[in-house]
Amino acid sequence: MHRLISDLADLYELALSIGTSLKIEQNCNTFFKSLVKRRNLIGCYLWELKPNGLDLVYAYPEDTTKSSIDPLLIKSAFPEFQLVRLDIDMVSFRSNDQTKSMIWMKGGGFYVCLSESNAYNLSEKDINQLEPLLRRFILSVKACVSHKMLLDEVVRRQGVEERLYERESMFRFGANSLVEGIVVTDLEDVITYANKAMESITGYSRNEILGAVGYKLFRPVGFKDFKKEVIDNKRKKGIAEVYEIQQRYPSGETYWVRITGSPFRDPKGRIIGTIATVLDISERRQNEEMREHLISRMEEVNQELTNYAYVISHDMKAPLRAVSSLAEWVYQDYSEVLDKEGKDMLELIQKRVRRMHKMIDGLLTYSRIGHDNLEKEDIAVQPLIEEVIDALSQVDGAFVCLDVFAVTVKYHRISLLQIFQNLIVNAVRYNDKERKQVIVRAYQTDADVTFEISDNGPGIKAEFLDKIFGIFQTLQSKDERNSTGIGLSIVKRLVEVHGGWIAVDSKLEEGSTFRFTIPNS
Amino acid sequence: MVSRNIWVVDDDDVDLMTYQRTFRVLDYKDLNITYFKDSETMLLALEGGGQSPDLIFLDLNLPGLNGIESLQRIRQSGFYLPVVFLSTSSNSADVNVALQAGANAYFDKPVGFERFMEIVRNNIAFWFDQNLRK
Repeated sequence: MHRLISDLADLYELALSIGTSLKIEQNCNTFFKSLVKRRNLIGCYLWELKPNGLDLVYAYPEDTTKSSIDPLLIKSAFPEFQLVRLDIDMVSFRSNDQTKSMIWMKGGGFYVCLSESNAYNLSEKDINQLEPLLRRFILSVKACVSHKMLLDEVVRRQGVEERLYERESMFRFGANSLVEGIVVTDLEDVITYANKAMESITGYSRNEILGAVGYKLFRPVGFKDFKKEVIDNKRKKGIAEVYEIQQRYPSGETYWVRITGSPFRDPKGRIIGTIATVLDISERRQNEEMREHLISRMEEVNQELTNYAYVISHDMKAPLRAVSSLAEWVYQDYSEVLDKEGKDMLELIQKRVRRMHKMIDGLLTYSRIGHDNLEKEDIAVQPLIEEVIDALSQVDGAFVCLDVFAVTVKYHRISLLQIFQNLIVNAVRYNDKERKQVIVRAYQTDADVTFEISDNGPGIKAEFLDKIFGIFQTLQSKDERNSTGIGLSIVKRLVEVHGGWIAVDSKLEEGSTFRFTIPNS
Repeated sequence: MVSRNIWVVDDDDVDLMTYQRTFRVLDYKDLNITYFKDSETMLLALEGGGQSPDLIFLDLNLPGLNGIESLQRIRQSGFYLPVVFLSTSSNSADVNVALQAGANAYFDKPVGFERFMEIVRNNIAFWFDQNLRK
């Protein structure tokens, strides 16, 4: 009996020392092994108390058959033992042959069992004496076990952390490969995370970025009170948003970013800051600005050109009128002293003046196309062409054949009149045949109407086909035909400004065909 | 017969000659023509009192105050006599601005003396509501 008590005291010290050691598993083995060996025990078991019974936490020697046990079922697990005493926290058994005893102690959810050989033939009195020692022993074992569990937990968590670390590495790798910047800030806009892209976007190093106050570092343009406007009014209220703003590089120069900012929440869902992606859109904004600038510049230039044409019309016509008047008055006032040649010359001056005048008017008309409001209306083509022919003395004596039936188009009436007038007059004016012939045809499809104006004139040399729509371009001497060379360029503008096209094909000596389209929409 | 005053404002010498020739050919009696080469001189004469005109022929593009500006001055000063623009610009914007500023008529300066003369003759007939004595 005394030996047992002293042994248990030794074991208790051992257990305490084990409890401070981290190598629990190994030390537990050593502990129980020495206990079993020195005391000639059948084994040593440690059970954890669970609602549905007992789970074997530790056993020496390893014995999985006793992995789960209830104190009241111990008897069935150890049939050769019989119950000696049953307390709330202690159960003792004695073997049927009275040679062995088992004491089960319950403490802090564990039962510890000391199975004894008959070397200790314990009486109930002995057990009562042993009890406080056993309790202390249990406490120390429990300490060992909880330490082991703690360690297991540490190991388990280390595993979790490793996995977390793995995931975070993956996240970091991903985040740092992004072109988009990622930034996390707290509710004071202090930056707690920034990926690598933030460096190239903002021009600051990550050392400078981390810990800095975002709006103070990046200096976004257009906020009076960033903290109030964005953090208090948006993030704290759970509002996510996408906005494009200008920020400043360290040098103070501005650049454009597109920011997608969302509230950043802790695991409990409380808003603790902002998580945002930042995309550098300077290039896009620059392109947009350049495009807008170009468009407005083009509009300006266009307007200037139109104005220019008006100035030309005024300033160029004024001297022309003067020349015309003066030539007329010289003719009238000095007709007695002028011979026929002199009078012819004055007439030539008048003719040239009139042509110049027409050219200026043509230029003005040409420059106005597309600037004036060209309201469209439904036009029956046949009456319109007949109207054109009736009004043109140049067409007298020509045979004009209309094959346009009931075609109607939606077009600006004056434009269409001018187009047909120019093309039909040309077809007759430059026609060298005795029997001048013009045929106007129309082909209607779903998409457009194509008009064809064919003549039996001299045709146009292939090398001139591209040139004839050029401004001031004539194929014969201007004097011969008294033409300005502006008619076809006006026609081309009038067609193109409404989305159509015009083309010509021609065979020398056989005639030319002009085709133009009017889109339906 | 009451005599009428016509003022002509034009900076172009040949245009002024055209006016002079026109009135010489038309040869109206009881018609006093005064010529101005810029609108400031004309406005000084107008606002300075004395003989005020019954009809003004005004050019659009003038040195200094242009035709429309001087027309606005004429109207602001409380003169509601007929003012007729005879100008080279057939810019529809100019025409609209002139009419809004209170012009009574707007004509393109024609090429050819005959047509010019016709415009002047018609205007005199219209505004003085009678054919002046030849």
